[in-house]
Amino acid sequence: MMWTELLVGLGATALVDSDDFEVRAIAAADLLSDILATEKSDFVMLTGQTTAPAIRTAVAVGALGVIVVRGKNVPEEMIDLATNFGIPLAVTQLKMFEACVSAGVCLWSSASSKS
Amino acid sequence: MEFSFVQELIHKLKTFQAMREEVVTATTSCTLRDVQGMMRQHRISGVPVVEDEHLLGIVTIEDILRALEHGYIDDPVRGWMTKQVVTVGERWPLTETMSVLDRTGYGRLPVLSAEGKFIGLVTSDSILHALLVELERLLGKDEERAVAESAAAVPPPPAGQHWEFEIPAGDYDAAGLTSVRLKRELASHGVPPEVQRRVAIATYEAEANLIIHTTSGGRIVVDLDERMVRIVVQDDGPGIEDTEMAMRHGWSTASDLVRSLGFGAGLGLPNIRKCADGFQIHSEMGRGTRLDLRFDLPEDTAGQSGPAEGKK
Ligand SMILES: Nc1ncnc2c1ncn2[C@@H]1O[C@H](COP(=O)(O)OP(=O)(O)O)[C@@H](O)[C@H]1O
Ligand SMILES: [Mg+2]
Repeated sequence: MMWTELLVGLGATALVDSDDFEVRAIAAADLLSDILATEKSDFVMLTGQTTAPAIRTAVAVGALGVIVVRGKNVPEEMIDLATNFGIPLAVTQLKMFEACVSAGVCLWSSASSKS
Repeated sequence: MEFSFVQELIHKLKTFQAMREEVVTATTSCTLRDVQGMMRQHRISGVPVVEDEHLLGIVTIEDILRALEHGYIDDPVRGWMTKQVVTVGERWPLTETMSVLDRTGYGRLPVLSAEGKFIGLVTSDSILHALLVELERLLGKDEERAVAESAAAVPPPPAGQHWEFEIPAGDYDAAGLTSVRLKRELASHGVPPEVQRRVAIATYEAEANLIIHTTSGGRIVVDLDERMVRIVVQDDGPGIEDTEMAMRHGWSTASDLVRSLGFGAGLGLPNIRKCADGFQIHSEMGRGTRLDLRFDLPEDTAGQSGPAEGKK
């Protein structure tokens, strides 16, 4: 699935733009330690955290992008940091659970349309 | 993205290096009129209220103006000072202190020692002064060497690399700062992305522990040579009562506040051990905790300089 498809699927608004890229997995957690423990690669991070440490977590694990859930107000500081690190950032109104389901549907439908 | 010379310079300086130590202070029994006099005499706009080296509050020019307007200028400051004062730590990197100045819009910030005592004030002026002094000091040396030291702009010497990071306690917003800085350094010294990622994750959890669990922060010391990355994480207390217990998946003493910020799930130490090729933990109550970590480099890639990770 492509990043832009994922954004459409989640009804998400981009806060830090980027070229499109392939997403192979999703890691979703409010606990940054959970994200830091993921073994996935080429993944996008879903989280309710709207802090600088959340962006640094994405940098540390090499997440391809970050989507903030629950329509939270994303502070400038987070947007600036994501811009500086070249991490695409978006926000969706969906709750964490709904966002995970929608992302799963996106992943599944793009995988099945390819095979 | 490279750190600029000045950013790097600011990052090396600690807050105490940029503070003013000779500060006019008031006590709780001074009247607001006394404080107004101090402000006029010393041409300052804020006076910390300090007793027994402890910061109790601050009186600003706005407080004085309000007192004049409402007629309580002869009251003691006790009842009128601002008690919720934003402070910074003496060992915080200056960058952090500057971002607090920036974020809060305050003109001055009291500096507290590790023991919580009031030891000075930082203002934009005192920071500018410290930067100029430091710049002069660096430029006084062989110029090329100064640039190399401050910006790591020249290719690495073959002998290996050494970095040290100070992590202040309690500054949750700084979590991950050392991790991403170290990751960038390793990338620029040719460490493969797979190792970079493991080091970055372990460093992140280690610095989170220093921020969350220690009394006065700690240090992360990193050495890179052709064969490995070696990391020592050390603090001066409180220490861990039972390290075997602490190593368990999900075991944590963190508060709900810490958890709401995304840490304190009890996953840190187990994840650090998983990421590292060598892991040792030593802890003594009252003395502190030390982690010794080793990350092996694959044989063919070691010691090369030049960027190793970048988006395609
Ligand atoms: N540097 C340290 N100093 C004191 N206690 C620590 C330190 N590091 C870890 N601990 C203790 O070990 C426990 C487990 O640590 P960790 O696995 O990182 O989980 P978490 O930090 O999420 O609680 C912590 O809750 C804390 O009680
Ligand atoms: Mg931890």
